This record gives sequence, structure tokens and C-alpha cells, in this order.
Amino acid sequence: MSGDPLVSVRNLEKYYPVDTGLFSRTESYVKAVDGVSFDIMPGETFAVVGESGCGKTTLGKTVARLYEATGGTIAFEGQDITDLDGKALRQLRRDIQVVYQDPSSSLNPRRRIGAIVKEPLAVHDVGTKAERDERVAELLRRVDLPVEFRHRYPNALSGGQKQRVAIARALAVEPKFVVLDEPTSALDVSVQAKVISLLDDLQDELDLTYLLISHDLSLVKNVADRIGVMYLGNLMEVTDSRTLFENPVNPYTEQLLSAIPVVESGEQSLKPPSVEVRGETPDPKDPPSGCPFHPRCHRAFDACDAVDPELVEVEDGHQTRCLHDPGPKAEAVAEHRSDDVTQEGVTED
Amino acid sequence: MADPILSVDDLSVEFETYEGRHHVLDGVDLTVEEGETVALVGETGCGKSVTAKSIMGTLPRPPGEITSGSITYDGTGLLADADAHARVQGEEMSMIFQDPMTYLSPVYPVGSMMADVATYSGGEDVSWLGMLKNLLGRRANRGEIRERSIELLDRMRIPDPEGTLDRYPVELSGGMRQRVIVAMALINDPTFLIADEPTTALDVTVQDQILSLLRERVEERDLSMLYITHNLGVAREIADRICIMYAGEIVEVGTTEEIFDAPLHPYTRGLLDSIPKLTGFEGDGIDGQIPDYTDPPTGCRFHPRCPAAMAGTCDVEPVESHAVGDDRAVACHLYEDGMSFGEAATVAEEEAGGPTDEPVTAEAGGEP
Repeated sequence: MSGDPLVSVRNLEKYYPVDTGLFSRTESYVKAVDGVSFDIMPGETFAVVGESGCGKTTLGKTVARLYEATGGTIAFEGQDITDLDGKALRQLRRDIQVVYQDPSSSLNPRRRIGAIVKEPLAVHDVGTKAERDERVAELLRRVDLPVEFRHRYPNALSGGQKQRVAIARALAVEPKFVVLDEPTSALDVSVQAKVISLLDDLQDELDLTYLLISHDLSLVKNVADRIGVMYLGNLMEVTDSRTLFENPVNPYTEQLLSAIPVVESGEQSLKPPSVEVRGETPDPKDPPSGCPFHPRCHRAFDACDAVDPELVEVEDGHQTRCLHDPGPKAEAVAEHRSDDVTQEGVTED
Repeated sequence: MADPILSVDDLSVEFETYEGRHHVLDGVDLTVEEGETVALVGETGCGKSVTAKSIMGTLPRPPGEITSGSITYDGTGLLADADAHARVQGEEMSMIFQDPMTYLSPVYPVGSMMADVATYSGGEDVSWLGMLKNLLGRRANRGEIRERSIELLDRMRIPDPEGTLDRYPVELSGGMRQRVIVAMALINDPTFLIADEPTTALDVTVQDQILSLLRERVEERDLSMLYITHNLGVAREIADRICIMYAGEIVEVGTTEEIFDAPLHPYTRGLLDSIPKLTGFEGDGIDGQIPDYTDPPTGCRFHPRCPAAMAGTCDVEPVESHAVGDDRAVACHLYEDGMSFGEAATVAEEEAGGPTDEPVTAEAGGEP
């Protein structure tokens, strides 16, 4: 890959304290995002997929600086934005915008569409009043909504139309980077397809970079350039979308892919050999020791409950977090293996 | 062929609200053969759940009103006879719901709820004293019920089934709650299951597990099932036959392979095209949105969104369901003169490229 990344995230952490007892002592932390690193190139769509509760939304919001990171750094256009505040942060907000999952709750029901879309312009003091009105009209046209909609309230719109309004609002200040947090999961498939193709057109036209957060693997495969698979606050596998489906190396990815229901016979052949899917995401307050996925893993071996793997590059641009590709943890794994010679060979499959 | 275990004929349901009268179901025909799993697929607001509730007898009336049609279960007409409906509902049918947290009470342990289902379904009268006894955990056959519950939870692969009986729903994960819901639906050995989006709230990996449990149980007990979902991929995994529903009408019925290999109705094709697939995705969705039920479109309810709508026909004449080959029916003016499956598929192919004149002339000739 060439060029400098637009967004560069290193060892990002977001911990939520778990308060218990009479005096709210902080007993432990929920590690919603636990040391995540990735780069997003300009003009690229980077998708984060994972099951509910894996921390993907927290990751998106932390990268957009809506949440304060507990640790690690976020760089935007080469500049460290992790601790930006005041005027500089305000300036940054024009470059980074977010589209949320449920448009019914992200749009204020008591304001008209025109006012909703205009608000970011007012906040950032863009243009005169007439210019702003003109810009709102242009934005509504751009997301294929009739301009008259500016006089309506959100409840007069269908789900797909509301999501278009949310997109128009995000684009009002001409951002460079948009975090799309499950932008279509509240919509029906026939509407979803329209919104996706709109987002795709907008990306080409306005030269946008997306961080797409989704749980829908089939969708992500078609929309994203690169994909990160997330589990319990960790990225388990990162690669381009083609490789992820053709040659997944992480057992969690294998289980996820194996579980997608498909609609075409041709698709079956694109899924990796079916593996047994078991268990559920454990309680993030009390994550398993070692590799977070080991209790559900069909390829777990004796070192997995003791050694926490690292994200390791297995080939160019393809990273996995699994002790089958131990990288710098090879020594620790070997140590555990020699403890228990009978387990020898279990890992070879 | 033997009579189907469930048959719904020309079912129409309306709702009276302050906005006006909603004509929700408009002549729904549906059959489920014994031992068969039929999926009812459609998008939000198409009337899937209303259909299920009408069958189950849990449609709130008012505001709902069944204006025409009949539902026959194993030879018994259900709509005419409320007692028969209650008996069938209690003894033969069970329903699995979408969101376990709304259907499980947060204040009772799992075991007590399962025992209540086992005791009270069937609609027999229970005396106040009996109920009080049950509430205090002194029901007559509690040992037997407990054993049955444990066995079922075990079959649903719930770890520590005995301990789970004494837990409250909040102590269980989403997947475990859904397993409890399934176990509860099975406790009285129903012969007919209605599953209303049972996996929609779940992650794919958990969905996969629940689907295989359901499939296993259905095969083992030779149950008949009506599976309601908006997800065609899920329908493909579980169903023998699929009914596609749009705006209160069944627009297409066929075996699972037929629906996926050669969808006939323009809506079915639009829906299939809209789904992102692993093989690629060039679909562009379907224009428009589902109609307002207070004033549904005349003629075919899909015509305002249909890429192949024929002016003068589709917006005027009501559609009827046309048989296309065995076991296959499609409610579309394009397939009006009883063509074979092969012919219809050809029409479908042609029309995918753009509306052709051919079906229009064919349709002008013969009124079925």
C-alpha cells in the first residue's frame, strides 16, 4: 500500500469502569476496545464487523472523538488528534462526521428536516443564511430527496428517507471522513440497497473515506475495501475483503462466515468449509483468559487459555490474532506445549 | 395428496384506527402440509405477523377484524368456532416469538414459566385454589413437569439445564433466552409450530445454532411449521416451501429451490436482487415504499413500485393467484393465462431485461 493513511489508530483502548458497592468503588473495567490498531487510506472504505457487544460501535465513536480514549493514539492526516480539545477539536469535527444506526432516534422529532440538515452549518458558522438554505436544498437533492421535504418533520418520512436525511446532515460540512455506524441495519433490504448505492456514489463523487461498522458480512464484502473482524474489543483478523472471504485464517472468521445464511447456490461455494459454530460472546466484564475466543474456538489448543495472541502479519496486508500464527508469542506458546506433551499434534489440521 | 394440515383461504383482515380503516390482509391463501416447513417472507409491515396471529387466534379484536376467509386446521374450521380455536391453539399449536425479553417475564424463574405453560395451555378451567397451589409451587405433577423441562432444555443444548430452571431471564444471554422460548413452545408436544422471526434479534453465529436446533426437532417429531422471517437467507436454510408476501398479499409461492433459482414475481426478483451476496451485489433496491393501508393501490398492490407494471392492467384489475406448474403460484398479471413453469421463467427472463409486449397480448386474449 502506498501513500499516507488518512486515519491511523494505534493501540486504541476504551475502558468503562464497573462500579460496585456502596461507595462506587471501581472494581474492574469492561474493555470495550482493547488495544486496536489499523490504518485507513484516503478514499477507502474500512469495515469493522463483529457480533453485538464486541465493541465496534465504541471503536467508531472513539475514533470520531465522541468518546475519550483510555489509551493509545488516533492520528488524522498525520496529526495526533487523541487529546485535541477546544477550538482545534471543533475544527476537526468538520472533517469527521458520523451517521448513526437508527434514524428515528438520531433525528430530533421536533425539528423540521431543513433545520436538522442546516444545524451543522450554523454550528460551524458556514456561509450566510441564504447560502445555508441553498446548501440544504442542494444536500437534499444530492441524497435523492425532494427539496420540499425541508418543511416536514422526521415522523412524516419512511425509514429509508430518514436515513437519507441523516446522511445529508453528516455531509453538510463537507467532511473528509465519515463513520457509518450500522447505517442500514434498521432498514428493509429493498431500501438498504438504495441507501448503500447512494453512499457508494457519494464516496466516489465527494472523495470520502468511510469507516463502516456493521454486523452484516455479505453487505461488508460488497462495500468495503478492507475489513477488520472484531471480537471482545480486539481485532481478530484484518485484510482486504476478497482475502477475508477466500482465505480466512482466523478461526473466529471461519465461524462467522460459516454461519451466514445465503440466498444463492453460487454463494455456498464462496464460503469456507463449514465449521461447527458454538457458544456465545462471553460477558465482557469477565473475559476469558488468554485468547478471548478460545472457549468457542474449534481449533483451540492447550496454550490458548494462557497466552494472549497478538495481531501478526501473515502475508502482505493480512493480519490475524491467533496462536496458530503466534509471531512474537511463539516462545510462550512453545513453553506451554512442552508442559503437556500429550497435546502434541492437536494443532495441526 | 392428503389434505394440508393448515389451510388459510382468502383471509382478509382490517384494522379500525383513528387514521381510518386499514385494509391489511387482502385475500391471503396459504397451506402447510403435514411435516412441512413453510416460510412466510416479507418486509416490515407486510402483514406476516397479522397472518400468524390470525392463525394462532391472538389477533386483538378490536381493533382487528377478520372480514372474510377461513382458516382450517386438520379439518376443523377455526374462525367459525371460537371454542375449537381455543382448543387447537392450546393443544396443537405453539408459537415462538422474536424478542425473548418481551415474552419472558422478568420476575419469574424460567422453570416456573415453563411449568405454567405446561399446566395452563390447553384452555382447561383451573380453579382459583388450583392456581394458588400452582403459584406456591405445589402443583400436582410438578416432578414430572420439572423432568420434562430439564429434558427439553438439555435438548436445546443449554448448559446446566437444572440450574437454568431456577434462574431468571436476566441471568441468561440472548441466545440462551431464545432457547428457553423454543423449549417453552415445545413443552406440550405441539404438532404445529408458528415461529415469528425467532432469530432476528440474534447474532449470526447464535442464529445458526438456533436454526439447526429447530430443524432437528422439527424433523425428529415430524412437526409442521410456519416460519415467519424477513430474511430470505434464513428462509432458504429452514423451509421446504416459501410464500413471499407483499402488502397483505401472497405474491408468490413455490418450493425453496424454485423461488431462489427462478423467481417469477417482480417483487421477489427485486427482493432477491436487493440482498448483498457473497458473489457480488449490483442490485439497486426497489423504488418507493409499502403502500398506505388506509388507501391501498387499486389493482395489484405492488404496481406503483413494479418495474414491469402494465398501465391499464396492473393498476386497474385486481390480481389473482395463477398456478404455474405444480405447487407454484404467482399473483401477477404477467402470468395470467396458465402458462407452464418453463414459459413463465422465459417471460421472467425477458422481463428482467425490460418490459415486453408479449404478456400484454397474451393477457388480452384469455380471462381466467
